[in-house]
Amino acid sequence: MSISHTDIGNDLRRIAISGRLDLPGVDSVAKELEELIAAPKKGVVVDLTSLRFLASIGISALISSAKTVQKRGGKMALVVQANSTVVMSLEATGVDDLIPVFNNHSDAEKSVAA
Amino acid sequence: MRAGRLVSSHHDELTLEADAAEVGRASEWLEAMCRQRGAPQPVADRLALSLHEMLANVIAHGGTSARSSPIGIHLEVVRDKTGGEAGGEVRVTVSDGGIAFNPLMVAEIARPNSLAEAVPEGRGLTMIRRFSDWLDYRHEGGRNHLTFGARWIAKVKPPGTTHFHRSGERRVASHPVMQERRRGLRRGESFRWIALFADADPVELDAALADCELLMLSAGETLLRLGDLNQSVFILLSGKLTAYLSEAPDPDNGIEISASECFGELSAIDGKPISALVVAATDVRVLKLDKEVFWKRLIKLRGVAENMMITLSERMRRSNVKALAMQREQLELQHLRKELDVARQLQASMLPLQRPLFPGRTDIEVCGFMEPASKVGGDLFDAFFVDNRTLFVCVGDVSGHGIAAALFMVRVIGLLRILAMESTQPEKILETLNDRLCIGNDTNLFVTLFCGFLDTQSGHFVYSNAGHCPPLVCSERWAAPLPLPKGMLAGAASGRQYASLERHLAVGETLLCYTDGMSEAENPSGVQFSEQGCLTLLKHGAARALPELLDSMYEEVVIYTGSPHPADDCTMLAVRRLALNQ
Repeated sequence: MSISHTDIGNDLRRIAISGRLDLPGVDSVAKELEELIAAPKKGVVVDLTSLRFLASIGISALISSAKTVQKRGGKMALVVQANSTVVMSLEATGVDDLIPVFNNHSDAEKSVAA
Repeated sequence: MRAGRLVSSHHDELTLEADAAEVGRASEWLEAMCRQRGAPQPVADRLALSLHEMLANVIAHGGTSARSSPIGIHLEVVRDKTGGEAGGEVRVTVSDGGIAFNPLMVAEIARPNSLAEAVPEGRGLTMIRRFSDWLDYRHEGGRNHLTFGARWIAKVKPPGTTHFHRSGERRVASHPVMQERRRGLRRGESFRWIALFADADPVELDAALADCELLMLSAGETLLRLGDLNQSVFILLSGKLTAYLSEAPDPDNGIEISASECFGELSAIDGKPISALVVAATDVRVLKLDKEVFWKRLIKLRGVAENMMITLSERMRRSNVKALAMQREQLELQHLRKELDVARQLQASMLPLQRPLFPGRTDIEVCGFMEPASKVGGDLFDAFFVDNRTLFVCVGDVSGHGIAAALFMVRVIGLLRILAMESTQPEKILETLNDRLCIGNDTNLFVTLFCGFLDTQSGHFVYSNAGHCPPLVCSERWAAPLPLPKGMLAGAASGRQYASLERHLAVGETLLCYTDGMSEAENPSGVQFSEQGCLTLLKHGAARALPELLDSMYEEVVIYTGSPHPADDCTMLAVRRLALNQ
C-alpha cells in the first residue's frame, strides 16, 4: 500500500495510490490522501492504475476527496486500468457517475483543467 | 439450476479473528483459493470484494459478541461440464457470532444524482449484492450464516483461447427483447440484490424478467394516482418515491419508498383501485412487472412468494406502528385541547366579567364584554376601585393570538393591578408598565392600552393612552370619540414618556372603551365596521342598561360580518355615571 504525488505546475496535482484499498490498507494512506487533497490545487487526478483492490471503505475515501475538491471549486478525476477489478468496484457502486473515470492520464488531466 | 457432469469439488476452510488486519488477509486468501481451484479471475475478484464487505460489516455492526468469537469461512468450488460448456460455481459461507443481522433485509442506499448529494459511506451492501450471483442468510445455533457465490461458464474454444464470461452478461446478450426493454439499466445489472428475488435462480429470474418494462421518472412526476386501476407490480431500482394516502401530496404524511421496495402489489392482488398517490421524490428508475407475469412466472421462482409475504408483513407492521403513533398524537391533541379549555377558563376568571360588576354601588354602572377569536385571546380589560371613590379602568390588546399572547396579557393585567395601587397618575403607570414589559420581552409581543382614573363622585376623569384606539363617550343626544394624548404602544421600546388628559364625565354619560376587534370587523366585501359604526350603535343604545347595550353592539357586529366567529378578539368596557337618586 503506498501513496505518492507529483505536482504539475500550480494547478494540477497527480496522486498515485497502489496496492489494496481495503480495511487494513485504507488506514495507511487515508491521512496522507486527505492532506494531499486539501492543497489548493484546481485539478486533482487520482491514479488508480496500480491499485489491485478497491473496497467500499476505499470508495468512501475517494468520494470524500472528490467532495472536498469540489467544495473549493476544483475538479477531481480518476485514472484506471480498463477492465480491472477497480473499474468493477466503481461501476457497481455507481461512483463512475459521480467522479469522472478515464483510461489515460491526458484525458483525465484535460477534464480537470477545463 | 445447471444440470451437467460434475468435474471436481473442493472444500476449504479459514478461521480468522474479527479485526481489520484479518479482513484484508481473508479476502486475499479467498481470491487465491478461487484461482487455485480454477475459477476465473473476475469471479475470484468479485467474491473477494463481497467477502471483504461482509467481514467489514460484521466487525462494524456485529457488536462485541462478533469481535470476541472467531469468524469461520467455508469455501466450495465446483467445476462441471454441460455439453460443450465447462463451467463452475463458487459458494462461500461466512459465519459469525455477532448479533443476529440479516443484511439482505436492509434497503440499499439510493443512488445520488450528484457528487454534492453523495454520502461517502454505505456502499458495502451494494457491492455485496452486485458481486454475488446469489445471497442467502440464516441465523442458526446463535450464529449468523451468510452464503453467497458466483457461477461461471467457459466456452471451450480452440486450445489456448479460453474466454470467461460472467454468466449474467452472456444471458442478457442472448435475449434481444430483454436488451431492448432494459435500455436504461446499468450494464450487467442483476436483480438479485432486490430482497424479493434474493433466493431466485438467476437464469430463471432473468427469463421471467425478460419482458418487463423499465420506467424512468424525473423528480416530481406522478407514477400512480389514487383510484386508478392497476395491472402491475412495481419495484423501485434507484431514487426515492413518496406514497401519499391522499389525492394531493401532503408533505406531512408521505410514506417513503426506497430502492428494492415493491409496491402496487395490493391493487394487483385484489384488483381494487390504487390506494395511494405515488410521486417521484428524486429521479427514479422503476421496474414495471405486468400483473400476469408477476403471478404466473415470478411468484413461482424460489423464495419469491415467501419474500413477498415478508415484505407485506413488514409493511403491515410499519403501518400498524404508524396508526398507533397517530392514535397517540390524537390523544395528546385531545389532552392539549382540554388544557387549552382550562387556560381559557383561567384567563376569563382573571377578567371582571361579572354582571353587574359593582352591585353595591349606586353612583356608577360598569360592564365588560369579551369574545375571543381563538380559544385563548390577547385582549384584556379591568375595572376596580383603588379607594372608595376612585375607579381604575383599562382596555388593552396584545399583538397576536394564542398561548403566547394570553401569557403576555396575564403579565400586563398583573402589573397594572400592582401599579394602579401605587400611583393615580395614569401616564406614570404606562411609563413603568412599558419599561417592565420591555425587560426580557424575547417574544416581541407588545400591547396597546388605554387606562384612566375616574372620580365617581365628581366625574373627574384623568386618562393616558399607549397606542390604543380612542374610547367613545355618549349621552342620549350625542356620541364622540375621546381626544387622546400621544403615546406609543407598550412593550416595544423602553424609556418612553406618556402624557395624560382630563375630562369631566357628566351624570348619564357613558364611556365606552373597546378594542379594534369591534371597529375593524369586516363584512364579506372587506369593508370595516369602523369607529363611526360603533358611534352610531352607541348613540342608538345610549338609554339601554350597559349589559344589554354591549350585547346588542356585539350582535350587530356579528350580523355585519356574517360570521358567528370573530376574526379578532372583541372586547368592550363601559362605564356610566348614575344620578344619585336612581
